[in-house]
Amino acid sequence: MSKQTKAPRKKEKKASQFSEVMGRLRRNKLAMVSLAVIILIILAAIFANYVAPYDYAKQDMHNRFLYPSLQHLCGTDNFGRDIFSRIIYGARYSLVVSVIAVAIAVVGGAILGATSGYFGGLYDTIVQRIIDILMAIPSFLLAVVISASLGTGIMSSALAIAVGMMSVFERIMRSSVLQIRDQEFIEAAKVTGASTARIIFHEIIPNALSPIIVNATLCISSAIIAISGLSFIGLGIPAPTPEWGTLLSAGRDYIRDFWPMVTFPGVAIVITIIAFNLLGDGLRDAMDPRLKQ
Amino acid sequence: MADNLLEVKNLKKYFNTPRGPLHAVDDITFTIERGHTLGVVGESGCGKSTLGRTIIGLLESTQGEIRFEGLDITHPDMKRKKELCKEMQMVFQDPFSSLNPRRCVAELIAEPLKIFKVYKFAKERDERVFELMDVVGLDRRFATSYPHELDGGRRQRIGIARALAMDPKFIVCDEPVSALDVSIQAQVLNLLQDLQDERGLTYIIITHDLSVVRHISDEIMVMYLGCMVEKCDAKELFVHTLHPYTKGLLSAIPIPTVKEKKPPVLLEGELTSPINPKPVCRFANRCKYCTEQCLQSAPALEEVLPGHFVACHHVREINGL
Repeated sequence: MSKQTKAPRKKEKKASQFSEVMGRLRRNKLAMVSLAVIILIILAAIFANYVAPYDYAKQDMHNRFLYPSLQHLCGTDNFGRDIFSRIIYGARYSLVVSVIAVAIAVVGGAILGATSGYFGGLYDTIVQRIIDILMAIPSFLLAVVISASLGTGIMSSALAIAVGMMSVFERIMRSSVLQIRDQEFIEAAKVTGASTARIIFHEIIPNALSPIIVNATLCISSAIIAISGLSFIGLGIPAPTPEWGTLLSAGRDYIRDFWPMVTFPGVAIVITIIAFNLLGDGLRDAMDPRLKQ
Repeated sequence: MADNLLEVKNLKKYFNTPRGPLHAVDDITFTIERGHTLGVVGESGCGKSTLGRTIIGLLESTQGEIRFEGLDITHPDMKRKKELCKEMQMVFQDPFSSLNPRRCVAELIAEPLKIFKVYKFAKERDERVFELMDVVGLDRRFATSYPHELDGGRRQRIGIARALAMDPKFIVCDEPVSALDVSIQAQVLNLLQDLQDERGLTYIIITHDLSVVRHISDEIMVMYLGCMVEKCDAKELFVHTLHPYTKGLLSAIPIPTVKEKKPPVLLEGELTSPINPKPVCRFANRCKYCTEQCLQSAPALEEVLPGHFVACHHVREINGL
């Protein structure tokens, strides 16, 4: 359809905003490599039982503390378990928990921020003061307190991390909404007969979403760190489960004598985080082309 | 009795400011006949947009009554308000900010149809969207374009198509052409006029541009600081200009000729503050005919000539009537 347009335009019209963003993202090599890495990690996590060469829980006391070789790519740990397999299975937990945490934070923060920005008044004041209180507490400390009271497990760790992160999304959403709220197309929507919910969800949130998406990508990496940190101190996902932080924590005792146990989980965390950060940066540039030029 | 579509009685809209109530619209009364156009003119800040927004229901009136087809719509409940959206629509001033930048043209026009769930099937709805695009003179190939890819005139056509989607009887046009180029202004005004002829629409055209209202209105209302100072037939206003403020306003229209030269009626001084104004003639401090009387009481609107209302103490002396 776009080829029929007679009027001269600078660029070919794209079918949707999504494909336009993807087009710009595609030109950013670093972001594309990161995206590939992330997809690889996600695929490895999903198909862990096919990818991983060994069972992550299978102990082999004859082959403890093996250094990396072709049989055991990252060596074996203190119980003779294959570290590489454990890292791959661990990706499941780390990714799932961090994605759930960020999802809770985004949805909660976006709804709170959008409503408090849109309605203003007393409701806004109350929500903002509560967020102030949340922001005053260091987020990791908050996560420690919440997961200590809720107990260990995937959902409670995710929730513990989400609460601390929510305030960031709430503030971003609120400030975007404040900008959008007074534009004429909101009034136009009111005149059209749109309900308040429709205005918030159809008119305001889609326009305020790009900073949220960018920040969500960046936050996934801090969620991974947070969940690793929680597991490291024993509050996240309990020991036999090969979460990355748990692996690190288990390797701590042998850090001087046997380096593979801490190094490889650490490298896995670092690669994942860098990939998410670079993708986030790329997304930001792609969604707001003005930033880059 | 004339078939009045809209009656506004003693409408007031005050905004609360830290320094007291700001009288944006102060005691305005008028009626519009079905199929007619009322032009509202006045300088920036005189409350003309507030008047439009109060009538359409975007702002809650402070006092007074608005009747639409004989029914009181001053304080409608949620359900009634939504129903009214089918009958009354608005065309906005700025076609750049009044359209959601994330929606393509077809989605923008379909929005009211979706809200009121007029059509069960998307196909029927698309059909109607294309029909509306034809009506407002938008080429169908723009259906998948985004607003930022179109020029001002086309965007304004989208706004008009949206307003027309539910077949309203009454449209408030808030500065419909002031953000457009002169050549496009004429196109959009002609479009509005054609639509009126075809569909019997009733308009309020709010503008600061007298040549616009002259072109399109049946009646013209001149506002000054929230008050109506003169109201009459559109032709009459340009022939018998009675209020000193309107005279100043009219002489500000540029005359496209070099031969004819009229001494301009210049207005001096600044607007008085609309916050808590004293009950005097609000134009007094800028009026060269100002007397004691003007500084003591506010002039009432009176019918000086048949159908020609003016609010000025000295209108007869000034104009030798």
